[in-house]
Order: sequence, then C-alpha cells, then structure tokens
Amino acid sequence: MTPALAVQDLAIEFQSRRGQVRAIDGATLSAVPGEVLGIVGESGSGKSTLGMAIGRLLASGAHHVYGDIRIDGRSIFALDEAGLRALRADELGYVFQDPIGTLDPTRRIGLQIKAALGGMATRAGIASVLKDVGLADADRVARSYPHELSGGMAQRVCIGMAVARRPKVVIADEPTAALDASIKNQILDLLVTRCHAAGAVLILLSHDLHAIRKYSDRVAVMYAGRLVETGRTEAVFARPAHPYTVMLLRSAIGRAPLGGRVEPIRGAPPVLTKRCQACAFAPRCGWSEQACTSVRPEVRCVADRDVICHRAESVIAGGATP
Amino acid sequence: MTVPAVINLDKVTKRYVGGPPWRRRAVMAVDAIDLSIGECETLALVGESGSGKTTIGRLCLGLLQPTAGRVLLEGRPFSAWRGQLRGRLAAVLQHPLWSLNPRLRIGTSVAEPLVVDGSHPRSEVSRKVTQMLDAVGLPAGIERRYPHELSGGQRQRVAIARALITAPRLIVFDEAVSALDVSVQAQVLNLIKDLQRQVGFSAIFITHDLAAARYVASTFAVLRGGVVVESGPAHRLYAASSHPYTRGLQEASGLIDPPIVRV
Repeated sequence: MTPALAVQDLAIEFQSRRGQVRAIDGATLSAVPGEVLGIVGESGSGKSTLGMAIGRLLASGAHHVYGDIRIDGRSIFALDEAGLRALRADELGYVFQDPIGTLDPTRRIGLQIKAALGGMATRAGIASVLKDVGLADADRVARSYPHELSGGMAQRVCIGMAVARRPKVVIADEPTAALDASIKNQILDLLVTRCHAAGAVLILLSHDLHAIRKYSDRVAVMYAGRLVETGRTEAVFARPAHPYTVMLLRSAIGRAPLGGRVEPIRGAPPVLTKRCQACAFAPRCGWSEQACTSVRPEVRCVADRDVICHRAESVIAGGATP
Repeated sequence: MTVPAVINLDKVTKRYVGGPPWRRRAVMAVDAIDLSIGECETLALVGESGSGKTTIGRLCLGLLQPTAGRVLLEGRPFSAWRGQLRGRLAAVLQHPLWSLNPRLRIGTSVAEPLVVDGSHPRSEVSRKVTQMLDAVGLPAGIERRYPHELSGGQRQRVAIARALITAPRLIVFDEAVSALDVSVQAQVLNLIKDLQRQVGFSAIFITHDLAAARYVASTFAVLRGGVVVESGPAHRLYAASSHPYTRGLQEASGLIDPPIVRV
C-alpha cells in the first residue's frame, strides 16, 4: 500500500534574532491509510513543528533545509499556491489544542462548517456533520457562536470540520490538553472513529503517554527533531529499544508504586543550531559510549521497529542498565 | 487540647453571586465542607473544572471570605491574625510566569517576600536567596537572569523557591505541575516531596491528575460540584476506588488499567 503520508529525512530550521535553530533534524516517518500514529515527545522536541510542516503551515521564519514530505505520493514542496490550497482543503485536517481559539469567534458555527465543506454545503449537510460528532441538537449548535459552546462541544465541532471533506491525513496536536480529564476519552474515541470512517491517517501529537498507548496503532518517539523510535505501540511500551523511550516511560508518575519514587530524566533537551553530528540524547543517556558522542546514529531496524541508537540491542535486552 | 491543625475548614460554604441586579444568580462553589491539614501533611484536592478546588485554595489563603462556616489557621480565624500573616502562607500557580515579574531578575523576585517582610538585613537576604535557589536545584548565577531565559521546569523551581523563602506554614500548589512535561513533572514533584521532608511545611496540592495527587500527597479529597465525594489517606488511590466518580477519574487517567509500562 502506498503510504498516505511519508516524511523522508526532513530538516527544518528557524531564523530568529538570536540565531538559527534546527527544530527538525532529519525526521523520517510514514503512515498507511486508516492508521493511528501517535507521536510523543517533550516540549521542544519538534512535534508541533512537524505537524505544521505537513501542511506547509510554518511561519515565514522557517526554512526547509532538505528532505521531503509526500501525501499520497505527491511532494508538498512541489506544489504551487493553488495546489497548496487544494491540498489543505481536501487532503488535510487539523485539530488543535484550544478549540474555541481555533474557531472564528465572529461567525456562527453553521457558516464555518459550510466554509469547511466548500461550495456544495446544504443545511442537511451541515446538520449531518454535527450529528456525526455526537452533537444531537444540530440546529442549535449551528446557530451558536463559538463562545456559546463548552470546550468539549467546540472540540467536537473542530473534529467534524477536520474530517468533513474526507481528508487523507488528520493531524491532532494535543487535542485534549485543554479539556477536563473526564471527557478526554470521549473526545479521543470520537476522533479515532471519525478518522476510521473517513479512511484517514490520524497523527496524534501528545505528551500524554496513557492516551497514546490507548489509541495509537503505532507510536513514534520524538527527541531533538528526530523520530528516535517507531514501532507497534504495544511492543514499544512493553520493551522500548531507545534509552530515551525507556527513561521517558520510567518518569511517568502514574507508574510509581505506593511509596516508590520515579526517576526523572536528568537535564533538559538540547536546542540544536545545526545538524547534530552525534546522538543528541548522549549527554543525558545512561547507556552512552564513545561512538554515541562522535557518530551520528542512522535509522536501523531492531526487533521489528525503526530505532536511531547505537546501543539499541543492549537497551532492548535490558543489559547494562544505567 | 491537642495541637491545632495547620488549617481547618469547619462547614465552610462559599457562594458566588453574579448577573445584573434584577436577575441575580448564585453559584454554590463550595458547599459545607470540612477539611483539616496537619503538620507537614499534604492534602490533594482532586476534581474537574468548576468543582471548587481553586475556591478552597483561596479560602485557605485568606484571599476569600467564606459565606458561612469558619476557616482557622493554626486554630485562629484570619481576622485574629491581623498583620502577622506575612510569610506564613504561600502559593505556587500553574504558570510560573503569573507569579514572576518578567522585568525583575530571578534573584530580585525570590528576595521580594523577604524584603517586604522587612525582618532580614540586606546581606542576609542575598545569602538566603542563594541558599534557596541551590535548595531547589538551580545552578549558581541564575539569580542574574530573567524569567524568559529559563525553561518551564526552571521557572517552576524559581516559583517554589520564592514561595519557600519565608519558611511558610502552608503552601497552596494550584495545578503547579499540570503545564509541565512528563519528565519535568516528576522532577518538580520529587523536589516538593524532598523539600517538605527537609523544611517541613503543610501543603494543599490542587490538581485534576490523580497520578500526581497520589504520588505527592498524604491525604486526598475528591470534589464534585463543591462537595467532597470521597476523602481519605492517599494510599487508597493506589487501588480501584469503591466510589464510582473517583473510579471514573482513575480510569480516565489510566491508573487502574494494567500498569502503564514494564521496563
């Protein structure tokens, strides 16, 4: 099957007054239709930059250094203005963290859905978008302004708009971070079912390990602008092959037994200014050896997953634990 | 008589009244709640938005007056403390940028509560600031920097240093780790636990995250619509609760599925 989304060795840099920052440093990723791919990582790991880059939505200070992003086999960097508009309208859907901030505060929900559907929208079409996301009182919601909805309802509207044109790829960037814990699961359930119904790939960007584990088929762990480990969710959570994954899972406080203590990862993620010539995690890693600080690791296949680590075999074997 | 609890809420009710004068609407934010926190204890207040967590925090800090009932700090109502409250209470908020002035250097911000206090000579203030910043695990020289130059975790450490510098009896942590990454969250929670053991303060830990609550607290209270639906020692949160509402929250945060990982 052709991947619906393929990211190949992508590098993105930002120019700022304080100098250059490399946010994505050779990210490689692909996803087939109907799949839920979770991307986890700390703040500053490049998750959101990657999500925005897929729609070429990055600010003007961003610079595409090398690499490619293909949606359904077509490179997004080869598109002209019209092609890009068509791509964003027909093949991509975005769901962001703050639903009320995402919607236009000056227009009624019905009109915004109509715009999302394109020219052919009818009243019944708008109502069916709302019914599909579990908003039974469709007429009232369509007449409302965003500030008249609760956060959960607004996020349902956003999901409806994102999948309305049956896109190929839906990118959800922390879709539940702003919502109450009790409706988190409802919203994620809805997001996953609607993406399945539309046949879309769902890229779920989050640092909520529990949500990622529950909802994604595959998980990719992001660190310093690279996807350091990508594999089946169950396999990665049960036996991680990258030291960063191991330490990230260990630092989840929900995991501590009664009276136990979790071990946070020491230090902070680096801010890269150029292509990293070694393993970016080496300074914080308990497994690191000489090669880790001098040779840039490339993607390898270890135990059924793609991993960027010189020592993946010993990490997965659980030997030489730091 | 036994030693009075550090803070004691006795049938405390708080009603907010809003709306235009001809159509008043009252919201019962906190409804006849009894709570007490002893020496060096941490009480976790868990609940969704609108459950009354933050209102209770503000009542305990004396920032709000209860509509009915009494709030006692070390056995005395706030009105009896008059000017002596300074330095006895502190708060750490969700976004450290809310509690740090962006135009003041870190050292100045941390020293501020002591300077306002007026009880310490200048030389001792700067010594205490250095000592406090070291105690929360920040590198030397950070007192010369500004809040925007620090990471989220570092800023939260600064906020904790600022809260602790007057050696308060009670600290209210209002969603203090919610905005932080998994690993940084663990760093800050470990710091709170260690400092509590070393310095000795009582704490109210307001959160919607049961995992954080049971990790850091000694007792807990689950709130819903201004009422305590379940309370007890925090170790009870390590097993599935018998109360359906608490169990729902446990499920939502993934605590009573199989354990998250084996490593």
